[in-house]
Amino acid sequence: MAGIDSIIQIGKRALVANKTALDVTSHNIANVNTEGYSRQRAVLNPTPPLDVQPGPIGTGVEIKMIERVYDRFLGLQITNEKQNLGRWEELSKLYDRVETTFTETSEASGLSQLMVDFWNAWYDLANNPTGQPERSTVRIKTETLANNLKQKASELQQIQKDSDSSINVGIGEINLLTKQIAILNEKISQIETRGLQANDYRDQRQNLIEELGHWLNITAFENEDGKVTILTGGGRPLVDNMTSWNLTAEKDSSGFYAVKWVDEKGNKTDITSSITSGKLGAWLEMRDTNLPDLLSQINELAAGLIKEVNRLHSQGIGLSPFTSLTSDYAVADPAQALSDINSGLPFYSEISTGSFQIWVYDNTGAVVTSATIAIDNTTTLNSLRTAVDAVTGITATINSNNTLTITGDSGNTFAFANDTSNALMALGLNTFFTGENALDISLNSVIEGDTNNIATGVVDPSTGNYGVGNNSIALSIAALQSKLTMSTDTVTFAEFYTNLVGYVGSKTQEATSNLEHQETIVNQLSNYQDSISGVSLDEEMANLMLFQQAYDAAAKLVTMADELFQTLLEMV
Amino acid sequence: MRITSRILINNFIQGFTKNQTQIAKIQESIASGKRINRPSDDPVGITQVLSYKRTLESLGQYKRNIDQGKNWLNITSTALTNLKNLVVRANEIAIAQASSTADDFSRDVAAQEIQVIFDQVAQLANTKLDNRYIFGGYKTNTAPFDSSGAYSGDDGEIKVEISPDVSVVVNISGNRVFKGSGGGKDIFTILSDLKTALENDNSTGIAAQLGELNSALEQVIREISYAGAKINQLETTRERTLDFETEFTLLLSGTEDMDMAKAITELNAKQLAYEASLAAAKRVILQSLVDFLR
Repeated sequence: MAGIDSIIQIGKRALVANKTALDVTSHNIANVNTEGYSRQRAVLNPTPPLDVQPGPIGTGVEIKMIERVYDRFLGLQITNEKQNLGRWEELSKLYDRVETTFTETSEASGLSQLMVDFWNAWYDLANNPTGQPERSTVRIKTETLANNLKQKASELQQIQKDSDSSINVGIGEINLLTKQIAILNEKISQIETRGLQANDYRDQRQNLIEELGHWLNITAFENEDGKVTILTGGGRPLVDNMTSWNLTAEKDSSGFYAVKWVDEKGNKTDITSSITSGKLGAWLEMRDTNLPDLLSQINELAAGLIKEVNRLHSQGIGLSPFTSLTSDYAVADPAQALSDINSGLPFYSEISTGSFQIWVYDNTGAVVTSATIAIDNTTTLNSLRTAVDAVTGITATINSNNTLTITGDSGNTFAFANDTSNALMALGLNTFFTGENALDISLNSVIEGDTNNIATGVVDPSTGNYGVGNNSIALSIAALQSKLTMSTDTVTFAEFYTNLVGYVGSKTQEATSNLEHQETIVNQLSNYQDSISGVSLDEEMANLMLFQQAYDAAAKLVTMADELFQTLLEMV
Repeated sequence: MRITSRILINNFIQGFTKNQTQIAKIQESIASGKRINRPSDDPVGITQVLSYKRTLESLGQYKRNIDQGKNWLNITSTALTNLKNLVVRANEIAIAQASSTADDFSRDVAAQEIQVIFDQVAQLANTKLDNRYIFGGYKTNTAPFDSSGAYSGDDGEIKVEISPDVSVVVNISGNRVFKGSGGGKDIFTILSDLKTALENDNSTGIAAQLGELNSALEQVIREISYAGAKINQLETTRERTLDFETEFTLLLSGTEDMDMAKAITELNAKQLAYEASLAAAKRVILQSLVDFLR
């Protein structure tokens, strides 16, 4: 039979146990609003009984462990979904920016409207080819259109650059997270090898892992010793045991950051292509796939405009023939065939076997001579110069920057007609636009300097006569708006652009709705996790009462045992 | 399911954010009057809206082109009607002076009047519209006829596009109507021959020009009716363009504009849901066991 002191012992144990349980409850209440906190529970256990007659006698209570109420699989699932959440968050943000660039609803400022204005200006000019206001309007509308295309292209490039610098910033954050996770791995292991539970450290680590998943695609699994191993794309470890590996961003030949994984010896491996989700994945996707695609479409539109307008314009004549003219596009090498891919001409591929006419006039406007210059796939700038120079009354020279200058001799003037070879357009002789894509499209300086050089009519290919009232080129250029010029001759310029706007709209819509969907998933999982791990104040208040009463009762036990001792002592 | 206050608050925040977003969206639509405020509001709709707007702009331009063409043809028609009157007058003079009652004096006076008619015809042949000579073909910047009636213009056809891929020639060549190129009569030659015959008191010569003048009159009248027919064509096209404009304006409005009654009803419903969620949150979230202890 046990002595009275065993009651004191039981009372003491009960006091300690319930005090600890109260501590745990207080900790829970204190952390009711802590992000990622899992509620803890003191697991009470009877202490081993005394094996004495008349039977095992209880010895009281002890805290077996402080348990963290947590569902490991939910944690894994949340980590996975956070990767998608991060991806759609950033894609949605970036598409919102892209969409702003393509917002066409405001009157007068959208590209769609500016294109219509451009074609209408050509119609007005066709209606009055000698009108100076009409000529100025074509110039102004062209400049506005070109500026808008440039602005769109450079905005897309800016978003691309911003995504790129975000990648660099993101990698810094990622390295910080993996380092902290490795440190927590160590702390948890230190505590748990002593048979204890590292509850709060585990919560912190889980938080960091979820955060890391927000940044990039990872696979995280817990080893038997409680440490977590984290792998990223391509199976490269970011955290293992107490070690973390850094990522680094280095500019590659394209001028953008490549994501590299650094091993313990400092060797770097490019893992850019295996980062597919999280914020980092979104930035890479935008930078390397989505934005280049949009840029190439806007460039295609600009190139199409340049090509088609120049093709017609180069065969026309303005209010008077030229006294001197320099080609707009330079070749790489004057001895290289013009139609060769290495010619340096942006529209080299348009050149085909054919010819164009040059008409030469004297200072009274009378025809001096005409020549038909033949072009084929062997024509070089050198051979073209020779052929043009051989025409009576004009001189052709090649400049140091590999452009061609044609000058009329002693007051002579000259004009072009009937180009079946596209050589004039490809060289930029008598062209309307300069540039080759949306970033550099502009009005040709020859026209900027004198709007009378805007070609509206043509030279009669059999007599060399021309009249300023001829509006056939202006009409043909204006009519380009309804020609199927884009996407291998299936849509008009306007339809091409409209489709692009629709495409941007649906991509933005997709990103927004995927983000909403993903947010719902993560929210539901969080709620689900919260229903397991979250602190309920009602519950804690009830526990508080429970443990408080038990503590009071245990204290009574000690008092009662003391009274028993007093009774005994009084017997003596 | 075990419910914690965090779950209640999360749900509340999620719900009311959603409500607010929707309310903001409806409000934007009501403020702008447009259902589509950015491409993602309706990616298919925006392509239609842009296409309708583009068509409307083009129709406006075609109207301008047609008006421009009508200006040309109207002034041409007026000039040619004046020409007709002058030829008729010359014909009357020729008839009067061809008769035996005419004498040397009356023919001299008539010769002077024919000279005046000749000068007037030359003036008509150099008619201008907005500083452009309408009878000179492409050579709109120089007078196509000199005082002797010699032509220095060309046969250029000035076209105006009146609907997609349809263009009409709006000028009439002075060479054809005044000089009779292509098998017609040269009005200047007829008038100067008539004048010479009158001056020379040559009755046969005068009579010889009568037939010529009649042919010339037919030639001018033919061109007047040609111009009239073109004007009619342009007017019909203009009316059709206006019809299209009305149709596309309706299409645009149907695709782009907000149905106000529907939008406001929707706004009221969303607002009600929003207020209800606030009221519910106030009752549920703010209460816990703490309120009931002690």
